[in-house]
Amino acid sequence: MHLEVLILLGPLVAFLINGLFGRLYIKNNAHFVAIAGVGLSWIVSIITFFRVMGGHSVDATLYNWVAAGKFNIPFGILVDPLTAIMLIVVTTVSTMVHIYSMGYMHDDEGYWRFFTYLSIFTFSMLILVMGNNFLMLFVGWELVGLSSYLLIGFWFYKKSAADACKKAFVMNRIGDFGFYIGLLLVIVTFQGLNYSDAFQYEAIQAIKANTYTVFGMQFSLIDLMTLGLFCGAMGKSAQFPLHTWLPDAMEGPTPVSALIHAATMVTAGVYMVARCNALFSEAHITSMVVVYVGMFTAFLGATIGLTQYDLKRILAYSTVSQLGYMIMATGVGAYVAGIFHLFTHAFFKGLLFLCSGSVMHAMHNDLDVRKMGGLKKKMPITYWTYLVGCIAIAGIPPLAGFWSKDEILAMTFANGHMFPWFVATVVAGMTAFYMFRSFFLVFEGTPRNQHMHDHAHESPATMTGPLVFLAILSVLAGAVFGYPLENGFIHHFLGPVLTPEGAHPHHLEHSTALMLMILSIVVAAAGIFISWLYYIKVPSLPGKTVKAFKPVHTFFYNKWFFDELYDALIVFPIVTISRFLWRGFDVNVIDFTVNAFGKVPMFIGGVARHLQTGRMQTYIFTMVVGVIVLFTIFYTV
Amino acid sequence: MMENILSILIFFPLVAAFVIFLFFRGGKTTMWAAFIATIIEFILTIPLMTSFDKTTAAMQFVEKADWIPALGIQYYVGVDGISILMIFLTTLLTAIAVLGSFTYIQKRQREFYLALLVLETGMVGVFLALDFFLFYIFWEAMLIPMYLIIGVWGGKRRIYAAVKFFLYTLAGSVLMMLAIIALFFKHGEVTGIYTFDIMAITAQAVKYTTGFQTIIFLAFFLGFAIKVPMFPLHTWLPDAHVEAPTAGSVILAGVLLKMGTYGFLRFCLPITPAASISFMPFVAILSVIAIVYGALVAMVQSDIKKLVAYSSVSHMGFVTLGIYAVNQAGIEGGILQMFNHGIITGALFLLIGAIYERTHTREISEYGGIAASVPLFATIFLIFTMGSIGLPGMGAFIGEFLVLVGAFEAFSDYAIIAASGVIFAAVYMLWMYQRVLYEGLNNRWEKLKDMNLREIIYITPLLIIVFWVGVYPETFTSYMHESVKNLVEQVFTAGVAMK
Repeated sequence: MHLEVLILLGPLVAFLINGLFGRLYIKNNAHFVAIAGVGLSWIVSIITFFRVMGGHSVDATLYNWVAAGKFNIPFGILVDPLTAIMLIVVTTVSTMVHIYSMGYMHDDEGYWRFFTYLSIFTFSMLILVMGNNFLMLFVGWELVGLSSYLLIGFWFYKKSAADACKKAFVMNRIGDFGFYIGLLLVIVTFQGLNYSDAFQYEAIQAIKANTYTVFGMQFSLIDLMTLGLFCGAMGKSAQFPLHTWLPDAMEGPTPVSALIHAATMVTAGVYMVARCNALFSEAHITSMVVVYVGMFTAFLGATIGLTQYDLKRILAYSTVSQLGYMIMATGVGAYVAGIFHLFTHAFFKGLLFLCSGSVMHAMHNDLDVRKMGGLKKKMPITYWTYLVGCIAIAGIPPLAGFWSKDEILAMTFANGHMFPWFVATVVAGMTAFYMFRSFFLVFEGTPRNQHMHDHAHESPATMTGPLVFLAILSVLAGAVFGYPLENGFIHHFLGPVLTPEGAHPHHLEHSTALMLMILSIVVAAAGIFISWLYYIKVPSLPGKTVKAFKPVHTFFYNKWFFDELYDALIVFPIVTISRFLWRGFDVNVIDFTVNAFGKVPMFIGGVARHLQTGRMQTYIFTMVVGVIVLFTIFYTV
Repeated sequence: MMENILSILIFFPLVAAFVIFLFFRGGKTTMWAAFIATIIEFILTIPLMTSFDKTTAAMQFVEKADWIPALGIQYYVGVDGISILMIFLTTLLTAIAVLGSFTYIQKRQREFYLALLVLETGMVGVFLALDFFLFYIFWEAMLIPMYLIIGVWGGKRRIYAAVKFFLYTLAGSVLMMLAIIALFFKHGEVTGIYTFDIMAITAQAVKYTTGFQTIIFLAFFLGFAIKVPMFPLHTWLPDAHVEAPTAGSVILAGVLLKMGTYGFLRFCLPITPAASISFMPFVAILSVIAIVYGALVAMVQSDIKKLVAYSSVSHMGFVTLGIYAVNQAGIEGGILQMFNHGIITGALFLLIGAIYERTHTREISEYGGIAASVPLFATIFLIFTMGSIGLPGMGAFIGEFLVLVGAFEAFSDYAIIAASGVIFAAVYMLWMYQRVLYEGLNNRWEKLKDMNLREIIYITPLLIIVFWVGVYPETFTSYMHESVKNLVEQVFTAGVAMK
């Protein structure tokens, strides 16, 4: 038995205990069980991390899971540097969110239910990152989807929450459909689903030039396979065009938004692409798609983030945008940079969300930034930690976000993707602007709603503790892991697993790298400065700007009208067609025919009365005719 | 006892029915007598499962005796890796269906349980018979109690539904009978021995001409396709389900539908291999249409039971797709999916029945928010909803996965369309779940009672099994490995020899 199995067992056992006994017996003590479970995972994950640093690795089958004919898919775990990093991210943020939730969910009647769901989520996410084959990945993939469904719909009696959780699940399923196709292509190509089969350099080289015919059209096999897998990533990591579920997911309790919809689950797509780097790096068309989808999503998220008034939505669109960065990084082949940004982003975005929860607590669940302002004095810890998060995400050195984001920009530049680099740099400035916009509106200036302001208060220690802890990580994680550029700890650590064989990574001249670094700092500083100008110095500017660019603002504010577009182009036609199939075809065509057949026997019955004469000769005659007919049938054929 | 275990399994329910007919007069004692009888029947399958030899594809626990020697009719029963899970499913679901009917069935209680017991004999007999004549008798014997269950204890439009069910199935039976008679003569012609022995008839498959095989195949196929039901022969199912009492729906969805796909496995594939191979794409297309069509139509239903009925059309499409991929993964997936669908859909109908007893409505729009008043029900209903969607960790995921792997190897384009079922399933199931259990609580249901002990007891075994299959499917698939391997070889050696 491997020590790492304990990482999985902790949350699983906690889930089972709370799930079975929570409602009737454990009730408001559920956090003891859940925190014990996740705490165990955290400790073992840290131990594992250090063991992996020392060269330890695991690729083991726990038992044979699915067997059919020539396929044998194990229930197995894989522990390598990539897994180790992901374990740290998942268990650290999860533990913090567990502790935070003790305060945040304190008075909720579904207290035990909340912790039960957190445990099943943590377990699922750990399965996702620890599996040693695609099917395990898919299991984790789907189970985090379930947990997300349960947690978004935690307050199921609200229609908006019930809608949002269903939307999240279905949008993810659309991506999973593609993922499923990718998985099937992997299994028929490599005759197995184990990473060790599919990521073999020789095996990939052997099938690299193969084509695959789908619906009569020929495609490059490896591109088709990776494109399918990437569809899954688009769903899970909220990439255009499947991004619309993530902002709606903010209907869930805020700790959930921090854990699932910012730090961990939504980064699963990035993890998956990085894990499959051996395949993606050979798939040139897919890589191109990945770069541009990531770039566009980064831009899309930022433009919407500029205009929103709901604090959590601002953060949600910022997440969409940052996920775009990570996806773009994996597309240009900078897998380490992508995972590095995933790592730092988990801490500062988790922090920002938990801060927003703290603000929400103070403002009695109102999230409209227009009603806030001047909260600095009322909640100093939240204020300082939120500021740290904003600086980190804006990309100001030496905080965490700077290192990872700068590296993504530099790598995009180095690999010759000039347009994506340009867009991503602009988006970096926008990010700094809208994050500080939210910061200024919430904490600085004068209160815009005196009544709410008077009742505001700092959150309890169970909530501020995790804030401080994550703030420290947001300050340090980048420099400690990522300095110097391209040559830090994380590069040495992840390099061996994230550098595809046969790849020729591009390196930048030292001077170019320095130039780019300065440029990204300047852009970030400019974003912050403009934000300060708009929201502190000249508060009339925002109104004027909106007036001047009315159509653009409306477009961005309404999220580019994606929801309306999907309703009109997809939902409505499908429902209409389905109604037609049911009423038109099932009832009017098939049943009409069947009922008509039903009438025939009645008619025949009338005729048949005359046949039932009771005379033996007639019966025998009929029988003979019948037998002759039968004989004729099978002798002639 | 073990040498006669199959006969005991077949006739025990019939004997029990006779005893109940003689000595019971309805009421509580009758229910308990029926329940005890079905539980004993279920317990009897356990030694069958444990002493089953998984290393062979041959028929086991065979009993063979002359019955009407002049016509080559025998009493011939046996079990192999394809039928054993169906036996387990049948006896389990029947016992659960009896327990699920205690409060639901108020009129003519004794007759109801008699019908269920006779039905059980028919069902077990169908899966075990190895003689065509015997098989046909069980097949027809099953039809009548089911017809009565819908027609006597059903809802408002029960007569229409029962007659529709009867006519559809009868049409299938007639075609099947013609095919059987033709086979009887053909086998006689080829070997000089006139017999209804299924194994003997199967063994001569190579000697039947392709043209003859095609006719036989089509007759069998139509007969079984009605039972599955495959598009476009499915319209009896929604009506039958909606009108049938809970136990009827459970048995119908859980066991009766599987007889169609069992027929494909036992007769169509091995007896008419050449025709089966040439019809593979045709059946695959119908399966794919069923998957998408069933899902789309399920989406717009306003009656919960009808929704689940159409979802069955979609799910059974996966089964037929897997079977007609004619490879190990596809067929094993198909059989496992037959089993899973029986468990999951059976559970869904039980749960819908349980809530119907409290609210007397199945209209989705009349519900809303009841998760607040019945939390346990909501949780269990969610588990089976997710099971039906094919969430990993539960059985249907494994079944669908194997089917898709098998189908993807055989015909990847159809498999791709079939895989879109994973989206639609999520749409219609979760939309239904949301409208029934989430959102604001309709104040009519504030005082709704949560599940009681009896309901918890009958749902628990299904819960355990659904997770068991998801986590450790080998317990179930290990029964079928050899038989399926043998079947695939049989089809291909015969099919290739013909060409």
